[in-house]
Amino acid sequence: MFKARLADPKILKYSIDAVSNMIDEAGVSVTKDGLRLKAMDPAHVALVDLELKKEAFDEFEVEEPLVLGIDLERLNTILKRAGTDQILIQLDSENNVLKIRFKNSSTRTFDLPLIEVSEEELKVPNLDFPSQIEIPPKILSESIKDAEIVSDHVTLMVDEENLFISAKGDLGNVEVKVPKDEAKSFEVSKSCRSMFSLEYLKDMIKASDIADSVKIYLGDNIPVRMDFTTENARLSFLLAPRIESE
Amino acid sequence: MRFAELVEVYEKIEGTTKRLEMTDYLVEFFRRTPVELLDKVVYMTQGKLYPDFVDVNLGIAEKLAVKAISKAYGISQDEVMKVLREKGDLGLTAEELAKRKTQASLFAKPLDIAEVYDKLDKIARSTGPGSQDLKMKLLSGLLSDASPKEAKYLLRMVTGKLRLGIADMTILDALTISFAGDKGKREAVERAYNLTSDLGDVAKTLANYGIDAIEKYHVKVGRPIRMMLAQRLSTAEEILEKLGGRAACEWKYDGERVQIHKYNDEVTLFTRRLENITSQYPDLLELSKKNIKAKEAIIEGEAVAVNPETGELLPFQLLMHRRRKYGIEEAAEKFPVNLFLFDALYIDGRDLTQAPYIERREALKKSVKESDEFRLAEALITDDPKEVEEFFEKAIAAGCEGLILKSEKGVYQAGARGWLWIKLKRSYQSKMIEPIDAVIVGAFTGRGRRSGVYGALLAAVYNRKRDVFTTICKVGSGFTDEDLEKLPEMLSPYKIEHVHPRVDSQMEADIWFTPALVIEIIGDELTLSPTHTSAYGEVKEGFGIAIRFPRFTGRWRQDKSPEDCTTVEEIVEMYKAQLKRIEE
Repeated sequence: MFKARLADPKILKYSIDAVSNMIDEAGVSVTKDGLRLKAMDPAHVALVDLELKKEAFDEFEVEEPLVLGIDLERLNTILKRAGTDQILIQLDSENNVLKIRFKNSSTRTFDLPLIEVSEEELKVPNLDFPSQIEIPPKILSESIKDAEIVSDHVTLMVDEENLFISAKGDLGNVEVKVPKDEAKSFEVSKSCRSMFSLEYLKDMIKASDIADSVKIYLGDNIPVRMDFTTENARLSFLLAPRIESE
Repeated sequence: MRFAELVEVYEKIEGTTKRLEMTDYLVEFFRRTPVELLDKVVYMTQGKLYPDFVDVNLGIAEKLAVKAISKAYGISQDEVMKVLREKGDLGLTAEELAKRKTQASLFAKPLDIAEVYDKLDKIARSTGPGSQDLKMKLLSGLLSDASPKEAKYLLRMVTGKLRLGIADMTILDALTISFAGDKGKREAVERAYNLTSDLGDVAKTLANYGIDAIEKYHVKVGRPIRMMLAQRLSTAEEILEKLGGRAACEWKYDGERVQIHKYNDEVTLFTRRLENITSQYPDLLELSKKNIKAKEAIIEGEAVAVNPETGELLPFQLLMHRRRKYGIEEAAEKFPVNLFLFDALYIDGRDLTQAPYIERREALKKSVKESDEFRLAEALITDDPKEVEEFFEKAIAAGCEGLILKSEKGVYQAGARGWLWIKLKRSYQSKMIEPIDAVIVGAFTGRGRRSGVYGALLAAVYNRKRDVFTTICKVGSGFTDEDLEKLPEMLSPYKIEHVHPRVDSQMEADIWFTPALVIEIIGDELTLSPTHTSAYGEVKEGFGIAIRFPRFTGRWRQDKSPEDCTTVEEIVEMYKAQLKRIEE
């Protein structure tokens, strides 16, 4: 038995939108504490860790822990139809479907068939990040959109004073400078830089709209970790760097 | 087992052109392959995932492959295309770019064969909306874990271009040596392959149960038997001599050869290339279910397009309307097929492949309920070359390609082109390039949609010397519904009880007319005919000339009297002028 209700669908809509393009299908674990989705994209470039605490829901009931195999792309297209309606989610284990109900003046019910998912062992490298910077998500998402105009990859760089987000392309360059004072927290033990593919970042920043802050863990040519957090939810990404040829 | 080990063998095989060396590399590899992987390895080495009769195919488009390489290695698609143009081969492109990759991954693990196979299988099986994207992502996932060499072969596999230069026969050699010690038992292994067309299954059986199991191997309903093929000679005498003076002659229909597998209510159809074409012939499927009396059967026949209203055989090209995914039902309605059966390989538990032809034909006859649409091929047993020739011209005139002459005692040699079956085809043909004017002298009652109206007309040309009309064809094609509607009325004034005294016909029409109404007819070619009387004996003794695949052009020649028709002299001239050797 599993049942949940969300008065405001936004948090679910945006977080699924942020991950569904990278990861087609995943096992979502449901426990009494909430929902958790941990998965890696097929190319092993990005790892997603989504946590929706039960407090994020207006109602949340589950008898015993279970794993739901979900076609995320499918779920995303359904959630896009939610508008601002209240969402009810219910597991129909007999038919092996997840019933997703949008309630407003009418009630719309979608059946999402559950799928078999193979549990892939996620061997994630343990990383020491020399820099940790927390900034408002809006700054990050705007910078990424700026970078997209000129290139398909972006460099993240920090020194003692600033965070730089820059991109170089055939048609010109762009650099965004975020001074220390604008950051919510700024811990930099040494200056460092890494380069990343925008293809992944542009999906990841879709989480910006629901998060209060984003914490960026950066090092020298190692993966970057980005934690988008709000009171009752956390969407964390680990993204492998591009190898700089020059 | 690591995919890298398989790739290493491929590299070695690519490095040689000597078949014996290829065999040695395979033997060495097969011997250390875990048995549960053996069939997969065999299919992959053939450049596929399954035997041909399973309808799951790799073969992703170049564009998608480029996208996957781009994604896996963080290199722009333009750059990938540039390298592809230089290398001219997607495999080499992937190999090169894997070395230059600019996208790191979170963790890389070496690929193993089972995993590669499963991912490729998933790629091949994903269909429908969003499947292209999924295929691309799965491939890029494989590539990001692959070494440059592995990337090269992965790309060749998914695009269906592995082409190691290994023939099935080399794999058979290698399997025999690996699991039966030496090549002594090669024949039994090849026979097993011919009986089920499944190298993976043969490999597994050999490795698991040894050569004894292979020697006891038998046909299996649902797995196509590699078809027996015919040799070719150009004259009836030669063929009869080769077959010991006497042979069973069968019409060689101009259609698609089909092997029908029936297991209770389940029917599967295979082509000569062992592809499953059940979905292309819903009509044949129904006919088979209805007319095969045996519970389990493997039988063969030729599916031929027919004019549903006249029963006339139509050219093979019309079957191409079935080669599609959608609109099959419409195609089946417009160009239905009849099936002409000629062999039975398995009936209710009995493997007939080693039984003589006569016995197989007898078993075939007993196991089906014949109807107009589903019946045994026209056949004749004779030792007389003259009779063969007559039968041959009759077959040609009916729209067939010729005859197949079969040894009465011959077994079914699966997968072989032997001398037990020999075909007799035409070496000359006379293309028909201009229409003729012919007079209607008789009619045949219609069936199906044409019941109540005429199904076909008997047409004749004018023999000036004898002042008679000699028949040249039975024509039922080219008439519109409107034409058919008004024909009985148009012809009713000329209706007579018996064949008209000035009409020379060997055919028995249902209705006879006084020669009056002239129509224009075109066909594919002019052929010799034992049935039609035009120019009888003039080109060849015992034969007249007829039109093959005749059709009405739509032009009524009311301006012409019967004596203004094309004359026999003109027909002979046309026949000779266009007679050309058929290029093979």
